[in-house]
Amino acid sequence: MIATYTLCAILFLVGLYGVVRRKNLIKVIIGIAIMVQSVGLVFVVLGYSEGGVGGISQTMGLVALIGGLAVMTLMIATSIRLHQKYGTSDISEIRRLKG
Amino acid sequence: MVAVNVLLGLMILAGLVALEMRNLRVAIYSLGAGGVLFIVISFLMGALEVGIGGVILVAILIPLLIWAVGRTTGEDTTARMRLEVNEIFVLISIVAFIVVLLVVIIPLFPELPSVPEAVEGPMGLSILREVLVLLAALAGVWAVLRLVGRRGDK
Repeated sequence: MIATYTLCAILFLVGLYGVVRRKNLIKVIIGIAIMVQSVGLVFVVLGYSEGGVGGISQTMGLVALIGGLAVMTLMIATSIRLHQKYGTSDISEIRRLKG
Repeated sequence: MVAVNVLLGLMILAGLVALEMRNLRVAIYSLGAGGVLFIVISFLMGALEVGIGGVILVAILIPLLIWAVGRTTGEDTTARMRLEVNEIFVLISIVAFIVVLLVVIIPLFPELPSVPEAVEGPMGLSILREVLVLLAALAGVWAVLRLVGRRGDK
């Protein structure tokens, strides 16, 4: 079980690496998607026993997935508008966010 | 559990490929492959609700991302692997810290029942919730303190 938790943590770190290190907006969204999936899996593993997965764990995992999906949808819309405004998806070149 | 661990390893691989690919369409397809693995893992462990949530996630997110790539740019020109030695050391240290933390913390959590016995929920989840609330409160305090500090600078 510890191995599964560790793999989930590594998956989360892979997503975090994408969010922190990648400069392309789409890659940042991909990183967040990986983090959301790892959080969903942690809830599944947390509630796992021989008889299946507990109801509360499943609900929390589902809420994490759906909430993450809502956030990512908003981020995709924002990234398209930013690309229209600045002509690039490189976040290091998008500096004039105010006004 | 071995099958789940192998699939998790493949998910990590798919995630790394998705983040390192220059071609964004290939990166999105790789993310989709990771999403399919997520669905398979959920169904293997008996989490039907989460599995269906994963299906919804993949079915909405992947077409949306492909549409976004069509509206913006198809290639990530900023993608280049340029990790310095100290950054690699920091990443290895973080992974080692999390592994040690999990090894210490996991035995403290009791085995969760498959069906919750009380309305309050299983013990482990209650503790997790409390820890999350505390962390959120600490983050809020830190943010407020930072704001006050900035005001003081002005």
